[in-house]
Amino acid sequence: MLSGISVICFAASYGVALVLEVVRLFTRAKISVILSLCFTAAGIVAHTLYLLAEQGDILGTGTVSSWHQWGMMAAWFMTSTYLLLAISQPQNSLGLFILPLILVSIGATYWSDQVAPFGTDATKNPWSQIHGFSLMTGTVVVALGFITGIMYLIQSYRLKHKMLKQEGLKLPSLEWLQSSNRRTLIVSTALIAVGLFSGILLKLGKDSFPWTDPVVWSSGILFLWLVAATVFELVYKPARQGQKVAYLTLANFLFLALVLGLLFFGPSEHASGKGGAPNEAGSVFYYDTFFQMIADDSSNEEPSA
Amino acid sequence: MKLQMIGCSHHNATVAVREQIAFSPDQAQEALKQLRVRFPESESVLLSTCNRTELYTAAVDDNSCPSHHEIVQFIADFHHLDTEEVFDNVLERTGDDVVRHLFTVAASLDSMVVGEAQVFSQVKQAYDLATKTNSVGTLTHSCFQAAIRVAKRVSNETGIHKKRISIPSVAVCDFASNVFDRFDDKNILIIGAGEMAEETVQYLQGEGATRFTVVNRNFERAENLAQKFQGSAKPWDALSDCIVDADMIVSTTGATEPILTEAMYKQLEPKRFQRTLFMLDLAMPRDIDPLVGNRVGVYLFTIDDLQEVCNSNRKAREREWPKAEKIIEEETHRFMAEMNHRATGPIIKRLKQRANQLKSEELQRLMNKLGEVDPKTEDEINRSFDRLVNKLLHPPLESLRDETDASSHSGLLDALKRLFHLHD
Repeated sequence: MLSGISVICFAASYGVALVLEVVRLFTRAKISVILSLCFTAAGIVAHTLYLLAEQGDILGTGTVSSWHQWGMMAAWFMTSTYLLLAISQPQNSLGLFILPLILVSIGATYWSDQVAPFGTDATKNPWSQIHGFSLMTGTVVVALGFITGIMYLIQSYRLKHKMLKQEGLKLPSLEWLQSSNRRTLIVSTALIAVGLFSGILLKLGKDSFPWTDPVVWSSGILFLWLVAATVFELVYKPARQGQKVAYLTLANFLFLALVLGLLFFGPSEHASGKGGAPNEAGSVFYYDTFFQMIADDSSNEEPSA
Repeated sequence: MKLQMIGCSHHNATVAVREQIAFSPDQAQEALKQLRVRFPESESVLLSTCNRTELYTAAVDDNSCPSHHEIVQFIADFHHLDTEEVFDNVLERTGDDVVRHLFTVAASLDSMVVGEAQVFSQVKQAYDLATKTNSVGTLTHSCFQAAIRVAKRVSNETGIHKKRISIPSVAVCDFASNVFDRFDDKNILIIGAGEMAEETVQYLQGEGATRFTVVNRNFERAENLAQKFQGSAKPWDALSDCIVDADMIVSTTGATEPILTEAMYKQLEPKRFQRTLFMLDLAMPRDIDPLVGNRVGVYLFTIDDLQEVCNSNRKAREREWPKAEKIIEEETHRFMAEMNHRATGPIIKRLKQRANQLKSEELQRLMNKLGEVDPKTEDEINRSFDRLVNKLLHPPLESLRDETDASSHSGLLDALKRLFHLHD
């Protein structure tokens, strides 16, 4: 039964894989690599089935019909990328960095489990789908860029300080990490741009545009930052090298964290619907009693209709 | 059955001696042919590498196998050397000692650099050559095939081959690979044209590097080295430009003062746009000022950093040594037991045949004397004779079997042959 699979099933699999990655720090037995990959693969199978079960009514609700699904799909994309990387580079401790982020994103999504789905009109609108999907993949790419940035800085530090004797921790080469950082920077800029402009298109022809929505303006700032970082990286030669590009990807993630923070905790239309009913504003609005409480307490603002 | 090895290695002979009695592949082929002519009943395999020359000979009949002196004479004749000189520099191993030694050599435990993979392929090549020249037989086939199997087992079951212990290999495979993902698109600058530079370039080529630039005070030597690796040689004056273009620098000069100081590098730095630069300073005294290693994007490793890793890897290999030795000991015992079973089989068969023949003759004589005997009595007499033969043969065969398992049968086997006149 597909419906029998819960979040705990695959989260536990990823958790065990992470424990095995930690074990690899102390003993580099082949079996722990194999087991870690098996647990991740088992987790991703359960994760896929879970998403399929959730999306049983795909025609009725659209592919991404709630923040819960949005987060679960983002985690799925991250895990799939991790699994492909881990299979191609089994010697490296990639899981040690990516799996915690996956677990945190699943945890955050599970936490917002009570959130009502997006409005049916919104989720069936193709622009809305593009908006949600590109922002989701953009978020995944920014997160992966953050991970490769962290790994670059650690690897660079280890090389500078001749700490390669620590056999347990094996990381990809600086060159690989640097090129991955560059790619994530460019790809995330493109995806966030698509997400942002599709969001604007969604609002075209409506009575009002929510310029004051913190998520809207912070996303705009994130996009401008990404464009600036990408242009800086393309024009200024030293910025293409090593630590600078790693710092850029870390800054991207901080901006993303700010946007997500405003989304969850700010008085944003993106974060609050009304009375548990799906929002029909044409964007990816949703309702959460927790956020509603905050919204009611702070401003008594009515969500936009 | 006799199995012996006569030869020398880096353990007991100097390079000069090893050079004198070494065999090139063509010479080895010729030597094996000559051995076949001179000792037609014996099997032979010749293993000749830069660190050892070993001639393995074997024969089912001990008397057919060439003696120590005959082999020494053969080597001396082949290389036109003095027999005494060869005799003083070669060692002889026989029986299970040969098997143990061959397994140790194939598993690279007897190499100058323990765990190096090259010797395994050299053992295989030596065996292949002997097979090609029809110099091998049952014993050498079994022995070399077992050696190949044992070497693989040691490699799979221990970590003795895993860690590199030569400075250039550690520099390239353990350090440079942490910086670069690929080497074919990297500009590699070699400063100096010594042996260390050459060895490092060999490892880099193994990793796919193709773009080499050699800079040396002596331009001719730079050109010679560059030619070997299809690289380019540049005069010493072009060093600064080469550093700007380089992704990796290997410095191995004999200079007494640093050839690249921090001040010099600072001047070149803007032209590099902080591109990653991996530097290997394999010179003593150092060629590169350690402060250069603090610059952005520069990863500098000196010979001390590498030596530390080499030593720790060597210790890690040593920790694997007992495990490898245990495998070799176990396999040697198994191999010798198998060989002994094979060797004792025909003797036991002959002994039983002889006993049965005697039994039949005596039985026949008795029956003739007794005349008409009822079948039941005849059957009882038959069984009685069978029991007698079996009881008589059981203790010597049991002892022979025990000695076979203990890998030292030859004394008892010879005694049996002599006591019961079990000759061919």
